[in-house]
Amino acid sequence: MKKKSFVASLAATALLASGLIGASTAASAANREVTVWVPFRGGNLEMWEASANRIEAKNPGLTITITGNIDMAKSLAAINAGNGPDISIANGVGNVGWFCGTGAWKNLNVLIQGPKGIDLAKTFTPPAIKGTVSGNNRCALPFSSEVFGFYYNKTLLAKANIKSVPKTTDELLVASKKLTKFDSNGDIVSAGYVPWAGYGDNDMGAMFLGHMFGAKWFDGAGKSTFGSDPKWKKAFAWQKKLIAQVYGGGDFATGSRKLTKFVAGAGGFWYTGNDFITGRVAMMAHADWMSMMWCDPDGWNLNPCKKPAVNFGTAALPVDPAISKTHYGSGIVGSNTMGISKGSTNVADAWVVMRGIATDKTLAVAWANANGDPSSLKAARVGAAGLKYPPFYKTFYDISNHKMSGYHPLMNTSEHLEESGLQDLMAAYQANTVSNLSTRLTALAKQVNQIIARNK
Amino acid sequence: MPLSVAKVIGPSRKRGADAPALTPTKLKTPWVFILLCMSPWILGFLLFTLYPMITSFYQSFTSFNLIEAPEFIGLDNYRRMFTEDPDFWVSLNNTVWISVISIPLRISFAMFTAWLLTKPKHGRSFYRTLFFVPSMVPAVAGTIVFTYIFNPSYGSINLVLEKLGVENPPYWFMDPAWSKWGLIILGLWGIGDTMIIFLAGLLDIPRSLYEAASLEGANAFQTFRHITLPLMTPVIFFSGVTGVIGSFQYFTQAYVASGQVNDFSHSMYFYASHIYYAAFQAYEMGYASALAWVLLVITLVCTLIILRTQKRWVHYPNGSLFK
Amino acid sequence: MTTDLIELGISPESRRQSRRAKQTRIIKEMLQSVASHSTLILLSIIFIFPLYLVIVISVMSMEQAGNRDLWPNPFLWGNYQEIFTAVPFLKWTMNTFFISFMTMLGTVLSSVPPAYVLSHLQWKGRQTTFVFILSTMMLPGQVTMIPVYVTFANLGWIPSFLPLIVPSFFANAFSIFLLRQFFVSIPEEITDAARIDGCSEFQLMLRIIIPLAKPAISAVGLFAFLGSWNDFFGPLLYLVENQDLWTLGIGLNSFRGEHNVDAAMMMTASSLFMAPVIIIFFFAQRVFIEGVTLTGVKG
Repeated sequence: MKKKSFVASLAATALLASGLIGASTAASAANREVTVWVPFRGGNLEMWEASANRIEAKNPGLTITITGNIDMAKSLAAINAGNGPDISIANGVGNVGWFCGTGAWKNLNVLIQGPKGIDLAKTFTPPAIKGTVSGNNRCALPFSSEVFGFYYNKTLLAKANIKSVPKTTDELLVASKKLTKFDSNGDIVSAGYVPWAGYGDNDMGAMFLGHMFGAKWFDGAGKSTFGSDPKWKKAFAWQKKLIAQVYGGGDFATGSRKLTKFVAGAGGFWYTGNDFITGRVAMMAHADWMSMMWCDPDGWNLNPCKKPAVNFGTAALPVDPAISKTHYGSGIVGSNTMGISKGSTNVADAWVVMRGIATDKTLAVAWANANGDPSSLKAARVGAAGLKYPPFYKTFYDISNHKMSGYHPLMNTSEHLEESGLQDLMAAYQANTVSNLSTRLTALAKQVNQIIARNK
Repeated sequence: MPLSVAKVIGPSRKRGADAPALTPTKLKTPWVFILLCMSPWILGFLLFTLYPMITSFYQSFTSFNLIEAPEFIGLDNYRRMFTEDPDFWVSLNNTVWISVISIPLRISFAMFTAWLLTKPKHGRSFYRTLFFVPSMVPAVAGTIVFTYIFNPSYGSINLVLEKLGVENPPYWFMDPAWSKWGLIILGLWGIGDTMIIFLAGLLDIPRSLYEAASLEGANAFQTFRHITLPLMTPVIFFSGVTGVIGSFQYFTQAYVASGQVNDFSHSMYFYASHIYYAAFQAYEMGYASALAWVLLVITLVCTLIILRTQKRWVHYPNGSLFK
Repeated sequence: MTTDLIELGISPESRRQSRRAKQTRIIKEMLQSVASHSTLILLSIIFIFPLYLVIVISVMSMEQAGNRDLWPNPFLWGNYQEIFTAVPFLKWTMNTFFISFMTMLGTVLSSVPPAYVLSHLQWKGRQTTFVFILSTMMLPGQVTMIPVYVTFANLGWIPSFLPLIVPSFFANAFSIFLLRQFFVSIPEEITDAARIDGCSEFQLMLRIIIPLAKPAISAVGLFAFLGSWNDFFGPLLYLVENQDLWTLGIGLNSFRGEHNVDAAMMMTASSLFMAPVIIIFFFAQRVFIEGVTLTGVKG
């Protein structure tokens, strides 16, 4: 579980009733029961149950059993042990490779093209279609998405006399410099943008950096391009430059040291002490659902957002000026996915149920109203009846419509080595402990390729 | 409260290792009773030591993800460890580094505090209590407290260091170059139990030896070099052996500290953490078993080296189990 | 000895000298005493400071905890109330206590009999067995950990308390060693006399050795209890999946991120976590220190 999504954190803190595990049985064709395991609970679980009822009503004789509070690792273990459900969820983006690569989920090509199939291109958004394959294996359908964008503190930007939101990495650097304040000891009191692995309680710092510079993760043959794509080096160089110029008075080592101390003094991320809420940091990249916390740190509500805890605005991530024409407006978009277990004995019905859930507009709208997360179902996006979102939130719909948006190709790299390894490298680099970046990038690429080869 | 170590273990020494039975009436050996009494340990040994050892040895030659049956892959896990796994080397490096630095430091510090405790005529047990208490603190709690104290922004250590005039105090757990020193200091804080062992050893040294030395005009250093140190070698030896075994199993403090501060740079990633991640995060049970067996071999070799050299430097007053 | 003889025939001159020497020696001893006490006091402060900090921060406000302050202003005793509502602290405490208590019970029940037959009974292979048991202490737990985990998983015991409690009922080398060291200090004459009186071995163990070895058994029990109370790795393997089963260690480590708990509250929880251990220590100091001593000296 790499991405810290709100859903994931709910699942993680959920009280997992161990008695439920193993309660499912492989449904026989006769009783036509389809079991679904989801990590959700509370209101989200109720939405799924309502959707199941609608599908049952349309398919007489079919019974759907939805079990909540089951996290991904649990599902995966059960599927591989042969006592999993018919349908399970990989929550948190990017985990499709894990389920597909281990063969836990069936390939869906035949079903998709079959008589009860789906026209993917007409039904789902492009990032969702791309985000549901592992290598070339289409083994999942999308359910909702996570969109990563750029948040800024309107009040602080106005005070610093910054007229427009930074759109390029150069502008971001200039704005950061204007926004950063030091105390009499030279310590950072408040910062502009902090390109720092490990700041902000998410481990996506390196992914944001890569996206800003349009760096490629894999080539057409599925081999890692960390070593061969020069844009990675460019991205790291920019990180270094920003740290030096904004925080170190021109010196990288000083900036690195000051930021270390600044990051150490960060308020707890998941409550009102959050640096972005207190104004300690003015700009940050994060997921769409963080809006829920900015709007209501205690209740995590997106609708309505009348009195947010911080006066904030949303935008797309700034990008390298060299690619801004084609790339500005895009962002990282990941899909939550669902698939059919390899052990399912009732594949025909399971497919009907999964297709039903994936295309249930009522469910998708209710989900988006409660959780943000722009739907991956085209019919449930901007303009859909009943869909509610505050004005600033449209940014995330726009980002996920952009043709350069998406997630890097998903491979079976076990614990997402391509992401964690890059993040580790970024951390080492920002701490001024990497002497030869090229060597390290090449070594990482080699390691990623080895893992992919081993998992084949 | 004086220590009564001699009282407690005296008779066992007197009796010697394999002294013949002194039983006046030759009774028949009650084998059934013995077997019955030993059965918890025998069963435990079979279930939780022997069987797992054999299994993990076999599994170290397999690819095994807990779910599907182990698949035999020969020496591949071992090859992968040495040629394809940079984290193996990172964790091994960190572990060797911390062993080399912290074992001698711990021994010296334990010796020093224990020696100080032999000095006062009054209040020894008071000081001893204060020195010992930190070693009782649960590792998780102690580590969390230290991540707080070492925090560059609001921790008080750097406040003290700045007051003392240190210009750029280290950032401890937040700095890959200093994080292991943070762990070492955390370990030294909990030196209490080792110190008590050293204290008992020091108090066991007969006063008459010191008196004789002072009559012969030996200075403090000579006394330490020729009396205290030789007589303390069994304790030092014991701490060395347990130190080596302990440092290859060093986990909780490093895990908690690196979790609290996001140690992306793996500066607090030790061998035991690597096994833990391989087994319970990546579920590569076969690979993790291979890592564990390499660990066993390393500890065995280190222990054997220390055991081999002990004849040269360890001075035993009388019989010992490992002599 | 020779000095005494010389001193018998000393002149007034040399007596004065010796008085002066005595004075300098007293001064020297006083200086040494001052030096050693001041070093001891300084070290005491260093050892106690982190504990002091935990206590004072535990009653600070969140803002103050981020200020490097060393004295609470105001005292927020309510933190100690809040921690029980912010997280299921009571549940974690009960879980930890239950596991520790059962472990203590299992360890004592299963380790006394082997220690007895290894000390007060003469039989062929006894010493070899004892040394063999000792040598298993050298075995790194990682080597056995994975198959044991797999076995417990197959039994359906994960997550539950069982993997943490059940093994303690199968004795362990450390406790056997400690108990045996105490047992051998009980004179053979007592057991021999009882045997001549026709006492069975079982009665002997129950009626004579166990009452005499109460301090040793309490030491072993205490070590087992505290070892389990302080354990982190075991619960990490076997309990993480179900928050209802969490122990204090797991709970405390997960505070960051998962809950709305700030630094001050972390210290509140930490102080509650370490309090029982420290209280037990003050009441049973003697048992502890002798127990620890024994583990080391005999090496």
